[in-house]
Amino acid sequence: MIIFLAKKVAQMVPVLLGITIISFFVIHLAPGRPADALTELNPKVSLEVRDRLQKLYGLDRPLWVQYGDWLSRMVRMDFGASFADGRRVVPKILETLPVTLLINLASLLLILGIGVPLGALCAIKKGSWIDRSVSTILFLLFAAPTFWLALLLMDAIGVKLGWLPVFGIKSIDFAYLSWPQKFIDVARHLVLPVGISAISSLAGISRYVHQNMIQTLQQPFILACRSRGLPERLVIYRHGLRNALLPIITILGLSVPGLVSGSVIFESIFAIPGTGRLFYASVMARDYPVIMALLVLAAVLTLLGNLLADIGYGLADPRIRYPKNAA
Amino acid sequence: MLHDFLQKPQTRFGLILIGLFLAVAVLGPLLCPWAPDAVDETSLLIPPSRAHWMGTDQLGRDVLSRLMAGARISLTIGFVVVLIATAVGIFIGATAGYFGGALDAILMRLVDIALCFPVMFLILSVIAVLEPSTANIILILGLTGWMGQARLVRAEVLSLKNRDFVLLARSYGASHSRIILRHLVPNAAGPVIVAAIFGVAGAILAEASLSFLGLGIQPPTPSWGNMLADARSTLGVAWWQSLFPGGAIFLILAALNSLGESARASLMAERSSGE
Repeated sequence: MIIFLAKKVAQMVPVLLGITIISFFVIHLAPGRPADALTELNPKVSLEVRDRLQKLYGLDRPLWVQYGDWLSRMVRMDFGASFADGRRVVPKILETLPVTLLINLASLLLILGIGVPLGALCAIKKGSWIDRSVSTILFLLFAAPTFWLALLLMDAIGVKLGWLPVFGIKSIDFAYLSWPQKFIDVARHLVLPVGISAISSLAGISRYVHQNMIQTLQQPFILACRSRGLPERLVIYRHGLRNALLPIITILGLSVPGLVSGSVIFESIFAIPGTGRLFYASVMARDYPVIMALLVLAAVLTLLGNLLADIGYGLADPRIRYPKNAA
Repeated sequence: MLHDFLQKPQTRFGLILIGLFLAVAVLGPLLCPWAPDAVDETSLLIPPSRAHWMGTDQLGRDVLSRLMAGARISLTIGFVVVLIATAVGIFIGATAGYFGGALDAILMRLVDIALCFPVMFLILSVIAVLEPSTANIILILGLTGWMGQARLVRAEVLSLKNRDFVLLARSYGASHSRIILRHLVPNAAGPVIVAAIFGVAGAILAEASLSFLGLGIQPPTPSWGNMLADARSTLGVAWWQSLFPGGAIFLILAALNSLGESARASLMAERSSGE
């Protein structure tokens, strides 16, 4: 297990370096200089001022010097200051994190809580009317673009019926509410975004579990269990489902970056002040330090998520831990 | 084999719908009841009626006509993007699998690196750098979508490159490029085509998402995504403005997914019976 882990970590190093190089150069070869964005609104700004701004941000030095400088600061978690408002990048990102994390964790719980049993149910009742109707609905949900569903439901439930708020995460009078009222207020704001993001990913997970379960139930060891006369319930839940759920570990690992980076589209539709919307705003404003920080953080989290998935899978399944050709 | 595949209801559903959309995309300008960008301030936000089957938007433009013009753009982007992604994927995957060694290691690390970026973040960063023109959107989506194909082709090439027919070709003195292009790539076609079908769906969705965010196809050129973006400002007033463009995306994605799944099932059945 330790050798297995060491190998994985060693593989991560060049990938990590590649990530930083790509993020840095993609953004810095841009024609639109950030100094332009700062001065564009003010036509009276002279070339002199523009040059001074460029120098202030070190934008006049060769790219590789800027990169080395940025890399050494990044290792110390110093991503510099935002071009947009001059605030430090790290606290700026950190303050958007709780909202995004809350929404994505809630939606992940919904996805697993509904998607996994639904997929398993369809596989067990393969060919029945339950399987066929659920599978058809899931197929349709899988094809529906989430932002379209979001618009339709906002229109119907939010605006027409007025049951739920459609923008932001708290009401205007939030500060004057008592604690339980605050809780209810936030919860009401979260129903639509959490529900819709869960619905769209639910279909994917559920179809995945469905296929896995069908394949698992065809394996020889299931036949062996049945031939030993085990009750069907035990065969399916203890032996079948447990094996069919192993790949879910990978999916969990892969969802780590999404938990933090959030969804750009979702947060912009529902005006949620989370990480995804910060990214969107930074892209619009060419706020390089924030874009780079988020891009690198998301990529590093993806790497960590992969590693976690490998570890989890290795712990759960000895066949991975001790590959046949290792001896 | 092909006959069985074409007989399946999933295949037919997919092919018929895709054919319909293609017909609309090609014949669109002939069928359009109105000019797609004709502003008419006397008919703002008219609900679906006999003159405007899908209603009009806040500038009085006919939604159906814009939908048809949008079909041409969305489908073109979907297919061209996949063409680029598949070409790059085949080139990198086949090179890595065939030559192996250090080249393989470097190219596959490159794939690992590219896969680490959340797709939407990567695309948006590049768009922040370039201007969001149609050509740039196609280029960006194509160049961020080849990694899956590369891995697939590499795996296929690895399993094929020591087969007898390849060794035979080599013994005749065939060049590397001839072996790759004439013997290896055609035999890897099945999985590549399946992935390409899903790729078209992914590209169409990505374009719609970008246009919805205002970073894709720029108005006044109609695309399904920017039509949905327009619909945001008439939420609760004009349901037809969001229902129809989104419905078009939904139908084409359902058709492509259905075709892709059917093709994948046929491919798996063929492979398991052949070995």
